[in-house]
Amino acid sequence: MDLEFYNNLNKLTEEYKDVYVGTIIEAEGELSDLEEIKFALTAKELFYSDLDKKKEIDKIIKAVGKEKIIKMHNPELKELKIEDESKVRIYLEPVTDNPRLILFGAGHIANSVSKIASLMDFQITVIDDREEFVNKDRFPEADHLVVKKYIDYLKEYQAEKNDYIVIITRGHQFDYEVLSHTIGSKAKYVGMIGSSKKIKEVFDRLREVDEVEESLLKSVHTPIGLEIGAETTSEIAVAIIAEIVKVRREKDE
Amino acid sequence: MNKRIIEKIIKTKDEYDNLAVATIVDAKSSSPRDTGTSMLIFPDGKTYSTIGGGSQEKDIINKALKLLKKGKSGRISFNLTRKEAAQIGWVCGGDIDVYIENVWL
Repeated sequence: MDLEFYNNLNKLTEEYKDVYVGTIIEAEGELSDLEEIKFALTAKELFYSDLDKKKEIDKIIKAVGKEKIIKMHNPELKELKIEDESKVRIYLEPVTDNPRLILFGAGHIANSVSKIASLMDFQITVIDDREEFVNKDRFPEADHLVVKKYIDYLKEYQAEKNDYIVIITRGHQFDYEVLSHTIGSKAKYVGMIGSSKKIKEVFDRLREVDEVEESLLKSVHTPIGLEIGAETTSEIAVAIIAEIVKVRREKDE
Repeated sequence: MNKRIIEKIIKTKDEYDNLAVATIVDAKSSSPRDTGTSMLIFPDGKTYSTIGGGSQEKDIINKALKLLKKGKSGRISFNLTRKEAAQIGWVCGGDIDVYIENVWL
């Protein structure tokens, strides 16, 4: 393989959200010179590490099914027989980015959520306008600490499909601000803490002021966290992370 | 393949002539989690990221270094017991296939 393939792949990942890579790791008979060849695929684009092998690679992609590849979630090794003769083993994988966990609010629960999340591969961002709460002493494991008004952060923030948003601010007004900006976004998970009274208030406001549809309100994880009877802040954090893991690992089928 | 790995490959282009990408391409176990885990191995023995550590990772690194000298790609397979797998943080034991790709920088 050469660097050029990875340069092109990198460009592709900047342009497209869903990029898939195929590698021929074993090929028999007439196809044996396809070994080590790679290709990168999106819904619209396709390029090969070796353009001379375009015809053969196209055959292989056809045999697997392009539509199947661009819908896959987990890497997979496939064994194929091309034209009933040569056996080919192909490794297919999506290009992944580490999921981002964005904590709005830096109180006690955020502290525990951040700690537990750091055991996984999340890139952790914590936002709060109180400097005494957002600092390295309280969040040594976080990747980004942001001292800003939520509303200012939200002006610049663009939710990605790999984002997990946890709304645990100190007041209804802030929860509303954050939720109104993130509801219906690309984020994979939006969860908000609160009593049923608070949730109703925030939702009523979203219905009236922002004309948010019921289906979108239903997509918000609130009350936040899996139901495990959590009582302490750490236990609530476990419930939140458990819910996030569940959403992350759920199959779309 | 993780974006961080792609970015790291590109960033190292001035430091080495080639590098190896080792990827678990098949883990015959009940969990799909391990498949797709990858790491980089450089000709001087340095590494980037991990596939879990342990003696298996050492074997992968050694194999990669041999391949890097020849500028070739290759494969290495293991059979891990459940206990061995757990020790290096993998979810399940079973047969594990690793593809080691030589990348010219």
